[in-house]
Amino acid sequence: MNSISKAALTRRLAFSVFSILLLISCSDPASVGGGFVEQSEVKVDTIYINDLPTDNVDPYLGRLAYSAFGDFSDPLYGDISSFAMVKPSIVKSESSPDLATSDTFKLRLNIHETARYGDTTSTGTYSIYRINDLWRGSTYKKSNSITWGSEVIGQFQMNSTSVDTAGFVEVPLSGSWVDDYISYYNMDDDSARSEAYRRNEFGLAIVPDAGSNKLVYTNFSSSRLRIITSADTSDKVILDWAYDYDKGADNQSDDHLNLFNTYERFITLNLEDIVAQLPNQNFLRAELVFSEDTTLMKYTSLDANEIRPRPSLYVLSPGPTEDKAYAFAFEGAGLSGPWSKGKYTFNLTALFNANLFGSTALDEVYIYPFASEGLMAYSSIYGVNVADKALAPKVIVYGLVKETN
Amino acid sequence: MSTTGKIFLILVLTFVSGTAIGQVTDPSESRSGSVYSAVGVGYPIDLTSAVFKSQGVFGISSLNRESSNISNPALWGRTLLTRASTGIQFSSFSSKTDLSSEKNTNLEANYLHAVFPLKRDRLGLSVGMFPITRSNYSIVDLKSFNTSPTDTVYYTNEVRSFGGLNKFEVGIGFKLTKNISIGYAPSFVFMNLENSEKFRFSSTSFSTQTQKATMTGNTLAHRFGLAIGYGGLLRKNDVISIGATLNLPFSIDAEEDFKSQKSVEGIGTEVDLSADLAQSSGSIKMPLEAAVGLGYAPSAAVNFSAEGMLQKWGDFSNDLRPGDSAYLKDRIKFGGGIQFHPYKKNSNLIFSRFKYSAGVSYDTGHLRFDEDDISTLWLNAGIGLLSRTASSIDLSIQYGIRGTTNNNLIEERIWSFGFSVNLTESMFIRPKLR
Repeated sequence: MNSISKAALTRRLAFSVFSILLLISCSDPASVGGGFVEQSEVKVDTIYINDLPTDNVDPYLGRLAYSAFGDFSDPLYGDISSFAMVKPSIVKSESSPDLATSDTFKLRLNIHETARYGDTTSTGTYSIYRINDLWRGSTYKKSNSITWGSEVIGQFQMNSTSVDTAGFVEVPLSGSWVDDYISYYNMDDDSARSEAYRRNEFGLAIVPDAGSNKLVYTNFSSSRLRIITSADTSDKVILDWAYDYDKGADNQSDDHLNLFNTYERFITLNLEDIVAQLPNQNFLRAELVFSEDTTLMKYTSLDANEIRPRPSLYVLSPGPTEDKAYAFAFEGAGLSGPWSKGKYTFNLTALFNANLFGSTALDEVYIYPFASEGLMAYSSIYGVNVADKALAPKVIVYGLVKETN
Repeated sequence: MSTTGKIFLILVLTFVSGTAIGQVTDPSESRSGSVYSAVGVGYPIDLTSAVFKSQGVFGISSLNRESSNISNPALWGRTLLTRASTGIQFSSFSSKTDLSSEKNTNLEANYLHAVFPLKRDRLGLSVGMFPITRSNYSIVDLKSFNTSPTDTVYYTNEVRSFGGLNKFEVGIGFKLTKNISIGYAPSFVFMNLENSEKFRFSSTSFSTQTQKATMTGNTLAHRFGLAIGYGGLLRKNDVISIGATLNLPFSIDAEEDFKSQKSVEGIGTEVDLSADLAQSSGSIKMPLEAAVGLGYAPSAAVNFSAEGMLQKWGDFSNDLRPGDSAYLKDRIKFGGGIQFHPYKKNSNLIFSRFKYSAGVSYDTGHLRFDEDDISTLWLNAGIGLLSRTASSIDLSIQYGIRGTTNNNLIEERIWSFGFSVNLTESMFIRPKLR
């Protein structure tokens, strides 16, 4: 009977190794022949948006990082007048002595040092009044309204030298509000004090006197009520805050669209209409581009010392959303379209791919200027009727298409 | 080891390695052969081993029984021992155009083949796997596009292609008379041809993207062979042989899918973009091939061969790439050479232990661009080493000049080294002591 010798086994092994060698190959990519081989190339297509429907919501204006107060007549966006609401805390520790009418009360407002809307050189005067109505910052919306009394509790001016090096403006407080605050504070029972203060005291309104000609912003979370007694100085945090504003009609022509980061006007789009117009599904990048009407914004009756803040970016949020005002202001979910060279540009690549190959719906998306923590900013973009198509809102698609030989 | 065991062993090795040939190679492996393999379904691969390649012929008229003959089914009927053979090819391409030049290398498998004498010198069974066409190029191209009148984005596109058509063939050869043999080999043809592109951009606004198109399909094909041999016609102990093969044309119902890697809802996903293809299914019609050869061995130590082949690539069509047909034309390849077997003279000199081959061949090519044929002139040589068990190792070296630099085409200078191994069943048998 035949048997397999060592030599035969060696040969078998060599044969097997040789078989494995068949799998191996290697070399470097070449460059000669690039024009000869059929390959894909980048093709740029533009899809113009033929309609920019808009909507509005009633915005939340309470407990934002910054609250506006002041007024300014903007020839483009209308007359704007804003007031702030503030309610200091009344927390009292067991060791704290009672307050007396001889003690000093100051509202220390932490002012945003650079954000202004209006005449940066004006000296605005602002008065502080007692609010007559109950309000709550976390639910305060523009449609809410409050009134205030006529008694001036405090008054201050805002100009280039009003703010100290730490960013604060100190406003002495006096009058009935101080008296009532002292009586609430001196109540012995903590819960009774808190309940009485909550039910009967509605805080203070910071209201611009006529002709302040600018809006400024305060950060209430770092502002304080400072109480100076003969024994010590203590600061009370701000318990609640909000702001409110009135705005006149803006000046909007047929070929551009004014948008506000307070959501009086924002865009609603059906992006699936755009997806349906894509030349093909194989694209590298899709950009939604809005061109800013920079000429209009720059030259519409602004004096040399007046500034009009531009939104740093637009936001695109896929809907539908039940409480748009809350989602826009607090949820922060959305795609950023930063401003650059006069354009707000969104990279829609991921969204389009998610719609084409995933389960993301794009039949209702919202586009609005970014509300930067309460800093008001408006902008104008060219609309669908602009004569120069280069400025029209559009989606630019960088697709890959096969060259044909 | 029993004959059944030997056959089983060879079959296992054949099929395991054959799978590798069928699927060609992993796409991550970098390779670059002829850029002309970009057209159609790849460059046609001639079915021959290093033994005959070094002679400049296919081997269809060979009467050599020292290696399995994959070229002519009729010769399988003359098999005396079970034989298995395989080969690989290493090629170096120096490509140039009027503007640039490039060097690339490529290593790939050629074939796997085994022949079993069901009845010695009468009826043989052949099992083989081999490529019909092969596409294996890799190029990088630099391009650009504008994102604004003043902003330009540059990008590279790394284009790779690999794969082609392959055959798994089972056939028989039958010796009708002492001088005439015939053969028939049906085969299962399967195609897997992948073209991939990888884009990289100079701007971070654009992400790297890869995409690939894969053509697949299969069908049946048929090959016939005829071999005629006579001895003592012109002189004592001489042999004259005539061989002919015919590959019938066949059609493949092919499908193409087109996929790309994209981020979908935050997850890297391969998405199907086949809907973007102009056509994702269709027929590929492969051409008829006919070959004929004449061999003459004035003595056992030397033989001459002259062979020619016609492939009707002008009849080729591909519904998935209809534009390619315009560049295809009928291909004729012919060549001749000599083989010298000094060991058969029982000389003890070391250089007498080898067999030597040399030849030349000319291939008109199957491509024509404008009026320029992509022809190839091959100069061939080789050496073979035989063992006591009639197994052999053959090395071939070829130098080819292909194409032209006219009309922005590419001229390739090719050095190609072939290596084939022929094993016989006797190498597995331990001689019995007397």
